Amino acid sequence: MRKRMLSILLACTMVLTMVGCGTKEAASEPEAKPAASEAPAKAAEDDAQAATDAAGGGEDIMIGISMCAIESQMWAEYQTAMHKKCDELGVKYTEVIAENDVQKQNQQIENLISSGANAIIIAPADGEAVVSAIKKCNEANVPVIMANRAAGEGAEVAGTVTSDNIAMVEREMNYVMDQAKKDGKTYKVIKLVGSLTDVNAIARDTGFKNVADANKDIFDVVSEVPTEWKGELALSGVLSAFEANPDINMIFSPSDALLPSIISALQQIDKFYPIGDEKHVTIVTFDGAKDAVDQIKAGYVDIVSVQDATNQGTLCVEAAVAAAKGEPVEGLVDPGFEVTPENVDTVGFAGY
Amino acid sequence: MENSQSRKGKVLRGKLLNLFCSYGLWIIFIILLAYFAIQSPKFLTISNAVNVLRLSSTLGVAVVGMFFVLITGGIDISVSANMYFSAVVGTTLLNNLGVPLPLCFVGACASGLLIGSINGFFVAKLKMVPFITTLATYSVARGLGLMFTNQQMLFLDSVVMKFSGAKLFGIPLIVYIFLIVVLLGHFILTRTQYGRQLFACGNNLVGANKLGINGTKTVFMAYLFCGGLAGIAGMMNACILSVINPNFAINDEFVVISSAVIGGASLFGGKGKILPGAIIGIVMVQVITNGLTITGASAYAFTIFRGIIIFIAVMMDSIKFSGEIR
Repeated sequence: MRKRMLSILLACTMVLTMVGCGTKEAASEPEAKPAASEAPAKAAEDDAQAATDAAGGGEDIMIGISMCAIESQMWAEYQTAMHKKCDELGVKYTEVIAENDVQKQNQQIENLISSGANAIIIAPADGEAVVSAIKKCNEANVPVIMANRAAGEGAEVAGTVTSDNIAMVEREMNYVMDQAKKDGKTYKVIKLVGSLTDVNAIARDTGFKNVADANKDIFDVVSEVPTEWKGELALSGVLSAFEANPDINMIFSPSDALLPSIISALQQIDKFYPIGDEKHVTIVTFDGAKDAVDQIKAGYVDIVSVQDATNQGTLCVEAAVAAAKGEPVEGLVDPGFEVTPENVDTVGFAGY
Repeated sequence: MENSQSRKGKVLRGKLLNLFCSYGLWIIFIILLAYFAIQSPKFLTISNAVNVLRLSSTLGVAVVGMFFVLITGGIDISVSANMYFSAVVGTTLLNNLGVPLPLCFVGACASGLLIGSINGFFVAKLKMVPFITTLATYSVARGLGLMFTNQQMLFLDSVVMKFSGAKLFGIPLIVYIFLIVVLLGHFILTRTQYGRQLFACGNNLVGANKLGINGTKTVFMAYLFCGGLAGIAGMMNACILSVINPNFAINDEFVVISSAVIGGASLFGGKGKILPGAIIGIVMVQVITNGLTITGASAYAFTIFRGIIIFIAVMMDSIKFSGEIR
């Protein structure tokens, strides 16, 4: 009997601990609240412009932020930028993080609706799967701003803040192609693909194909590696692809999150050489993380297309505030820019 | 006359079924190898074999641990979260405290042992259902890991490159670690009293207890081994990748459990040979990914292939089990 009591007690403790961890996103709320309550005061004191913004109804507005997961530096920067802009405008916010769990994100969005958010910014783990939650927002008349990833069909959103993924990758590939033409080089390519539920992964793949398929004489794609955004799969894919084609001389990575694993794989098979060395493997990547920019400076990575997370986070909050006030939302595409060895010292961007 | 023919037919069918159960996976494995070898001349080479072994080694260490748990008739869902959490612990020791790499492995192993002992305590001592218990520790361990890292990527100090690139006689060091773990596991299961007790508990826990075997302790130890090995596997994986992403090792519990089942561990408990089972299991899973990448096939075929092979492995396990009396 005593044993049974003990077991029940321990089970309860365990469940409680689990609850404590599972609702980690709730932990960010207390952090957020004081920040939000301080902000109006600060804004009124210092900054005339911010004060006008706050006076323009900012104080009554509460924005819900639903993040997929903070899985790369890009998302961390996105998050910071949104918090900063909210504080600046004197807008209250509640943030939840879904750890890439689609179902959890849908529930969290419903919670945000019932918590009385005037507008919700959603960075979806899966644009399709989040549609049902957006429909609930539509029913409740809460405007939705999509952050970085577009929503699937069937739901109404006030605006989508995105990078022009296809055009950005096309610009990168054209840069590589111009270099190749200059040197009379051709490429054998490993193409890594991100999670296939991520619209951005698909868009980047499309951008890649647009250029590579039109220039088959320069780009020979010998291997296609699905990564589900996992470093492990990127590493094993690169190692196996090199096993089959030791003369591969270009890797396309759709996110900087995979870059460390790619570099680790190249080092293990002695293929990691700087630009100019004849053993150099051209690396094309995307996002603009600090380590990618550092690798460009060091001369190992050829080009990164930067989605300006700071700009996008700011745009999201501005759009959400405008939508909450019933104003039209516009100007949401972040054109992005490229960092290459030529401009890395002058572009004034160190990565995030 | 007819009667004896049908009996003969039955015997033949029984024999075929038996043959299929015993060697079915080997046959499929060989067909797969042959297929890939025909598709690409680069597949069946020594350097690719070494490559597959290298890719198998990290998760292979966790598969050895899983054998112990499966033999008790239990299951450990928490391995992947354990790998993540332990890798974070080991990396923190390495990066922030400058602890030498071997000691970081000890730290990661200790953290794995801790999670294993929690699993073991609840399952063995309090007789809680292993699936739910380890699912709970899975959630706790991953949550703690995410909290410590603040959901950020964690880069490992560059000294790990020396470890992950290290080779002995042309074979990566981690392959030796994997093989040593396999040999130790095999030794424990076949040559020690504990090994025999583990099989006894897995076959019939009540009966084993009546014979004077301390079933609680035996089962507890199995979860402890599994946890500790998952910790080491996590740290190895982190060294190979030189980075820990927040999605590190996610879903790897399925790879580990399915590899153990493919390698001959029974989900009903009481059965399993680490040598060669653990090696065959994980290598077979890795060969599929490797082969598909090398032959340039649509790599999404991987999930389909793995699904079919797991299905066959579990089916054979069930057929064999239904033929036994316990």
